[in-house]
Amino acid sequence: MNDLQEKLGKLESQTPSNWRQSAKHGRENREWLNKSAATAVKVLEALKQQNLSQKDLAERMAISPQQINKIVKGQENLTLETISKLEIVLGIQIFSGIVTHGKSAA
Amino acid sequence: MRLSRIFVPENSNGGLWSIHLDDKPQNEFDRFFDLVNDPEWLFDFFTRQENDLLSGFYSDITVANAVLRTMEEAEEMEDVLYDFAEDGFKDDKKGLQYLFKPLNNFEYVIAIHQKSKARIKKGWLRIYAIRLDVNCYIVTVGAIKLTLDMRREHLAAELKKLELTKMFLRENGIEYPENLNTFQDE
Repeated sequence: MNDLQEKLGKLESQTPSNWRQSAKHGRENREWLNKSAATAVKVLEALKQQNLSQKDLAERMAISPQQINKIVKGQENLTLETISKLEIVLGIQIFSGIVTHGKSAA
Repeated sequence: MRLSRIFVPENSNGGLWSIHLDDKPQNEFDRFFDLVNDPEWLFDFFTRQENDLLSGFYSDITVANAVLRTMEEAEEMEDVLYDFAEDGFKDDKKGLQYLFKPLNNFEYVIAIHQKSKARIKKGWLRIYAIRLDVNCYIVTVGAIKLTLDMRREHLAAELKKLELTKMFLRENGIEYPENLNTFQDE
């Protein structure tokens, strides 16, 4: 170890960096995390346009505000049931182009 | 203020460090990447900066698209850094100086970047770091730079951290040959 690294080591924080783990998680789960983030943005946009709070949305969906907060943080691996509820309650389409029972959602 | 090691290989003179401010639960590097991966925080940030978004500097862009664009940019930045953390130090010809390029000390303005513009994607995320040695850098701040200068409140606050870091290094007898460097995705 050279002088510089020794000096830096003496100034080291007790709290280690978590970045490498987070970055690894991001790479390994990129496909669904990107969809989750896109969903979060659509929800946030709808809340703003309709002047609703996350608490209002939680009440309308009969789920906890904490669950709504996880959704808008883009870290939630959402179920089809939750996505459908969000679409109905907010009157938005989250994923377009899916055909269900002969109807195009595009 | 303390320092956090982001990736520092064993038995090496190099490594990437970050400042960790006393009143914050995490270091500035981790905090920056958490924020630019958080759609809620970004949506709120861009809503507050909507006038800058619509000013045309980066061409008109909606808040929603700005959030997605930022997250995409952060992803690219993290990929480059992650790959470097995994393999970069194994290659003698490479070094952190390939990721962090010197900035002119005069002022942190876009005009100064233009010399090497071809190597910079038209991105607005910035990570500023102080170079201590060829392969040793300390990240001081991260920022979303929507305007030409650094006068916006959120940018000025980030620059204050840079000044604090300089003082901290001086007080602890750590010399730094250059003032400020910024991450560039080549």
